[in-house]
Parts: sequence; structure tokens; C-alpha cells
Amino acid sequence: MKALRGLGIGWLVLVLIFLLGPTLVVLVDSINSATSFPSPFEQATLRWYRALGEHEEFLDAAINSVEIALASSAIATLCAFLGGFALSRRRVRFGHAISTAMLSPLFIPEIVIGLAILQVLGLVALPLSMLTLIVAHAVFVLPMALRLTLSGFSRFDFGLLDAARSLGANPARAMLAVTLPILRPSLIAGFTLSAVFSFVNLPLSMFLTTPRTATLPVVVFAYMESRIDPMIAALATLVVLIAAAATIGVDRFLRIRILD
Amino acid sequence: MARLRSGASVSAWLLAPASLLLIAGIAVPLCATIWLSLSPNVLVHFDGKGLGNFQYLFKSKYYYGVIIRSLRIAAEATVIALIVAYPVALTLRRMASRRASAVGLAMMLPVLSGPLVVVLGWMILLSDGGPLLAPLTPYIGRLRIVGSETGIIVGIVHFILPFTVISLASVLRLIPENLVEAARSLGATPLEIFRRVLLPLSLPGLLSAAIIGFSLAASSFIAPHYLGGPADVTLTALVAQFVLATFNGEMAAAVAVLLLVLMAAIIFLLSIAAARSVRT
Amino acid sequence: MAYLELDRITKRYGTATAVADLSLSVVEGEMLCLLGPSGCGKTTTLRAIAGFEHVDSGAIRLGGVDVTDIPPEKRDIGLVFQNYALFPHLSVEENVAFGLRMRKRPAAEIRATVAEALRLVQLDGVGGRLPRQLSGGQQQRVALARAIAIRPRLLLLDEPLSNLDAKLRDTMRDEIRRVQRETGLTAIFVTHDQSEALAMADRMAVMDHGRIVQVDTPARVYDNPAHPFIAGFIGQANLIEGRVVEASGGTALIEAGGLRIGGHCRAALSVGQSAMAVIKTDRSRLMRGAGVADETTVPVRVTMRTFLGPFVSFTCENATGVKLSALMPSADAQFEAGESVLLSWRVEDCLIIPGVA
Repeated sequence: MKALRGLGIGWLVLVLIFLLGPTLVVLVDSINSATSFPSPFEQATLRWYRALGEHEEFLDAAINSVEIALASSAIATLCAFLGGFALSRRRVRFGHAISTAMLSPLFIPEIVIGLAILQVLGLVALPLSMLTLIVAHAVFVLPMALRLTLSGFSRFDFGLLDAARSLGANPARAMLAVTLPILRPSLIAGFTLSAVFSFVNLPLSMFLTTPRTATLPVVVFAYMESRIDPMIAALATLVVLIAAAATIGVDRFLRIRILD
Repeated sequence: MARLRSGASVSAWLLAPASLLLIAGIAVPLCATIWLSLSPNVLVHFDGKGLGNFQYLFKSKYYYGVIIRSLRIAAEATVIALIVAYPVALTLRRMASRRASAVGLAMMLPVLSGPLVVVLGWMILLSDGGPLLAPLTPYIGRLRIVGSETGIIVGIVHFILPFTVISLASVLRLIPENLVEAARSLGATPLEIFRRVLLPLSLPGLLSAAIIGFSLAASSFIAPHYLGGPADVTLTALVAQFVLATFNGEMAAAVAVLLLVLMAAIIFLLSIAAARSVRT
Repeated sequence: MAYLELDRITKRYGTATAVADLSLSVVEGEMLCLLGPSGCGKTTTLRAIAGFEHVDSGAIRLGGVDVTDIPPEKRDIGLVFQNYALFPHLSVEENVAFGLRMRKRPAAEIRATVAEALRLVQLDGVGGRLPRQLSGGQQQRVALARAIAIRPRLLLLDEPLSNLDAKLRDTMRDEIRRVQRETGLTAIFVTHDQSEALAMADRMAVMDHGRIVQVDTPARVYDNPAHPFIAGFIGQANLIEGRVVEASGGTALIEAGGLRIGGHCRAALSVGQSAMAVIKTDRSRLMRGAGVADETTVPVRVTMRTFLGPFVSFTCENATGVKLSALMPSADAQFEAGESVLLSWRVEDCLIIPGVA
């Protein structure tokens, strides 16, 4: 039994190395002074980060990405909160079908969602805009927000709302004074992870951006078509840091337990 | 009864924003794509609406190859991911909630960093003279992983592994330790505990892990694009080619619809198989 | 004049009827208990009074005002939940203040009322803690304080003691009674535990299948169950079904399985009708000796002897297979399993009631 557990831990560590290796190696190459990419480590330098500052297209795209990430996650989190409340509170007719539908974007290739939105806009002759991107990203991150919200609601005692109402709170006030504060960690976690997912997504945005609304992954993708250099590793490192901050925040500060 | 509004109508209002988002963002757009996939275009000529585009895709040796390759890669990656993930999930089952979730979140880090970052990492690690393969060259010769189907599979397994681990582990963690202890007290060896208790009880988790893994594998676009060679085109890459290179919206739509239909069919078969295995 | 009046209320869920044409009057200042087995409709009745269930027909009047269509937040009814339903994100004080905040009372008044409510339930000094830092009994007290802080017109308690361990249950039972007396609140509590109901209630309403079968003081319900269901549900009794063979004045004789059993009766009985003899086990006695069987004595054999501390419970069986039990003080209980003895009772301790038709 003990030997088995040792084997299990060993396997877990190997899998973690496999999963985190490619991400961590990018960190190393971003401070490698060698100019060709990839190449063995020579000397530590921050020049690639300074070089990033000279590329305004990255900054502009990053601003677009942040705007889209925040707006789409806000929409998805609100939808997930209200919908999750309804689905968890009582048996809803077709409840299972509805929650499956809300999780369905997880099973539809992002590139197909992007294509479909591009084509419907074409058919009704509407131009691409930030709104298009925001809607597309909101749909895409909805499952993530919903998963976390539903798991928050699964531990929520709906009897508390009866208690609030017996004490004189109308349904809206009970929602604000009881449901919202108790669900807050799940909602913030859902919002944060959704925002990061949106921020790094490429296939969804690929067909939907214009030069003015290009997101960071789209610009980087275009750049990488022509060349790959350490500056991209520097940019990637910054993205990893954002993702790591979100992950640690969700775990440490919000104490969200994604497995239970 | 104006003041005591019925629960059902409140639920409907609460579900309205999400429904609206799904209708506007997925349902209506998919209808447009299905409509276009049935339409003639510069490549395939027919009258009115029809299945001509799909016939064309299946009849062409090249496109047929793409279809088979996509499914094969996704299936292989899913099976590998499940085999790798199951022991990890078994280990996570015994950990305290706090630590297990921290490990789960750590596994999500590459997913949250985005596919471009991960692909960049693989290009560094797996490049011909890179830190992983260079030391091995004297023993196994020059091994090309980037630019091959193996490269694609490594990339996809890497992407879907966290999802399979998490869906397996969250089901395995629901199995009470009591059951394992009961089996041990009745004389079961670890292997028998696994085969007769844990595996049967985790079948629903295995199914959902397989479904999520397969859908994400079949959906992946960036790993094949960078880690595959020019000959390793998949259905997602084909969609991108038809849109960005040949500007053929109808064919792009047909490929997209075909991909969705194939995925739905396979998910459906998996569900049936699982339902059977649970019953017997 | 009834303070709370349930006027023929009915509540259905689909085809199942949870509460059927139920009427009940509660007097101001009394503590009334709704007692019944699970699924009898007692919780539905309580939730209807609180406003969480909308009745399909009938009316609920509180202090002479029809509240049937008033939402729960406007009824001013304090509710103590079975699982307490304390807000986990709020401190004890904030929990108790919640109802006052909703009523937009001035801060100073809220502070004073909260302090008073916590003092009343003997919880001064834990106001700053979170509910999860309290013991079960303390959480129960907070729930009580929160419900009374709004000075409700009616206090409802849903199985208030069911989540407590046995010892704490007795303490809290007395506490709830004391708080209710001190505040002068009219209270209704729901329980499936007859001993709680007997100990706490001024009057109890026994429910079965969505109906009230008897409303009376605990002592009268205990001594004079009006219905075989109550006889079986309250106290431990030997229930013997048979047919009336003699009935005159206040006494009756029934025949059951070859036995003739004599007792007193309150309802008029006619010869030949089905009836039930109810003999409380604690009023049945065992004795040695070869007495003759008569209307209040049955020769039996002891089949099982169970020592319960102050009492010993005997399970016995007569020659025709009728099972009878007796509960006797340990000091007088010198009988062994297998022994042949006589089981007897006094006529006034055996109640004959009409059987279920």
C-alpha cells in the first residue's frame, strides 16, 4: 500500500513537470541573451523586455484584450450567477437541458464559434466590432463561470433566503444581503479565471478582429508567422505571470477548492 | 397573485440573460453556418441547397485523409491522456481538499497561460537541438518531434490532461474511503479494490473525462498548427485555411459542421457505451 | 377570540395533498405544538403560516387580519429553522440585527435590541463571533435571539431541538419555554418527538395525513387519545383491537383474540362495533400467582426482559399469541424471561376507543 502511494506521488510529480515544463522554459528563454531562438542559455538579460516596450502594436492589442476580457467575463459571470441561482434553487423544468446548453460552448471548437459569428454577421450585413468580440468571448467563458458558480451554489443553503425573508427582507434584498456576499468568492474566481481564459484565447478571435480591434494573441500569432524571437518569450512570460497570479489568488485568497 | 409570483416565472427571468447570450452567441450563428454549409460555392457547384459540399469532402482523397487524421489524433490523444490522468486522479483522491485543489489549479496554469505560450515552450523543448532532444541524439539519432504527428499528439495531450485529471479526480473524490476500507477488511488486494470498487464507481467520471478530452482534442487548433508538419492538416486547420487563404465561407462552414457532427456522434456513442457498462 | 386562525387551509403538491382542509385556532400567549410523524403536513402548515407556502384554498388570519396573500417579509413572524439557517458571513450580532436593519431602525435602537435579545438567550459576550465558531446549542440560541429581536407577532419553531444531542435537548427545551414566557410571545412549534411536545406545549395539535386528529392539553391527549392513531403515536401502550361485547355507563368490555378486556370509555360505544383497548405499558403490572383470567387480568409468559435503568420492560405473550408489554420500576421487577405470570391493569387505566372503521 505504502509503496503504491509512493509510486502515485512519483507519477504525479512527473505529470506536473510535463505540464509545467513548457511554460517554465519560456521564462528562462525570455532572459537569455542569445539572439537566435531557441538556443542554449548564455547570459541573463532584460533586453527582450525593453524591446517589448518599443512595439506599440503589442500594447494596443493588450489594451483591447483587457477590455474584451473584463467586459465578456462580467457578462458571463452575471449570466452564470442568475442562471446558476435559478438552476440550483429548485427543480427547473428542462433544468438539465438548460445547464447542458450553458456548458455547451466547452464542447464546440472555438474556431467554429468564431466562424459562425463571422458568418451570421455577414448574412445580416453587420460590421465586426468590439461588441462582436465581447459577445463571442462571453459565450466562450460562460461554462467556466457557470462551473464555479454552480459549485458555489451547491454548498449554499437556500433556507438562508427564507430566514432573510422571515426577518423582513424582500427577495431582491435577500439576494443582495445574503446570496451575493456568500457567493462572492465563487463569483470572483469565476470572473478571474474567465477573464484570463478570454485574455489568452486565439482561435475564437482569429476571424473576428479588425486591425483596430486586434487582440494580443491575434497580433502575436501574426508576428510568429514571420519569426519567433526571444522578445516573444518575454511577452509570453508576462502572460504566464498574469495566469500564475490569477491561479494563486483563486487558491490562496478566495480559497476556492476546484476539486470538491 | 401579484406579490407571490410563482417560482417558475422567477426562474425563467433569472435564466433569461444566459439564454439570450447563448441564442445570440451560438444558436443563431450556428444556424447561419449550417445554412452556408448547404450552399454551392466556387469549388462545388449544385443547384439550391444540398449536401454537395459534404459529398465533395468525403470523395476527395485529400480531405477524406484530413477527416480520418483529425479523428485518429483526437482519439489517440484522449486515450493517452486518460491513461496518464487516472493514476494522478487516484493520488489526488487521497489528498486533503486544500492540497488536491492547489495541485489541480497548478495543472491549469498552462491552460490559463494560453496555447501560444505553451506552443512556444514546446518549440524550445522539442526543437532538434533543444535541451530535451540534444542529449539523446547520440543514442536515438536525430528525432523530429516538432513538425510531426507525434508533436501534435504531445501538444494535445498536454492541453487536455488538466481537464481529464480534474474531471476524474472530482468524481473519484466522491467515493467514500469507507468503501475502500470495507473492501480491504473483506480481503481485497489493492488491484482488486481498483478493479471491483474504484473503477466501476468512477466510470461516470471516466466517461465525462473522455468526452471533455475528446472534444477539446478535436477542437484544438494551435498545437496542430505549430507542432505539426505541412502534411498534418486537421479539420480545424482546414476551417482556418478556407476562411483565411481561399476565402471560401461555404466550404469553411461545411468543414465546421462536419467537425461538429462527427464530435456529436462520437460523444453520443461514448455515452451509450458508458450507460451499458454501468448497467452490467 | 383566536389570535391566529387557520381557516380550512388546503395545500396540494401535484396530486398529493400535504394539508387537507385544516382549521386551527391559537390563543394569544400560548405555546402550541404541531405533533405528527414525518410527512403528516406539519412543516407545510408552519411554512404556510410563515408565508413560504401559498395555500390553495382557505385563509390565515393573524390578529384578526387576513394575511393569506401577504409575502413572508411583511408578516412580522419570527421563524427558528431546523438547521438554524444562521447567515455564515455575518457575526452573531449582525445575524440578530438583520431583521432590524431590514426595518431600517436607528443604529442605537438596533444595538440596544440586539444586546437585550442576546442577554435573554444568555449569549452575552459572543456577539462578535461567526456562527461556525459556536456550538450547536449556542447556534440554536442565536437563531432564537434573531427571531425574537424583531418583536414578532408570532414565533414559529421548526423542529427546534432535532439537531441537538440528548442532554442539550432538555436544557434548550426549558430555555425556549422560558424565553417564550418572558417575552409573552405566541408560539407554534413543530416536532415529531412526542416527549418534546408533552414537555413544552400548552396545547398540542396531533396531525396525521394533512389533518388535525386531536387538539388538547398534553395531559388530556396522553390520557384520552381520541383516535387509535394517537394511542399508537403517543406514549407506549398495548393496543388491542377487538369488538365491543358490552357497553354501559362509562365502561365497556371488548373481545379480542379470545381475551375479554374491560376498561372505561368516553365516547358512546355500541355492541358489535370495532374498538380498541389502549393500556399504557407503564400502567400494566405483572404479578405472580395462579389467579383466574378476568376482564383486567391475563395469564401470560414473559418472552423478553429489557433492563432500562429505572425501569424494566417486559414483553409477554398469552396462550393465544396476543403480545402485551409492561413497564415496571426496577425495584418491583423480579421476573425472569420464560416465567408464567399474570398481567393486569385497573379499569380506569384501560381506555376503550372506537376502532378505525
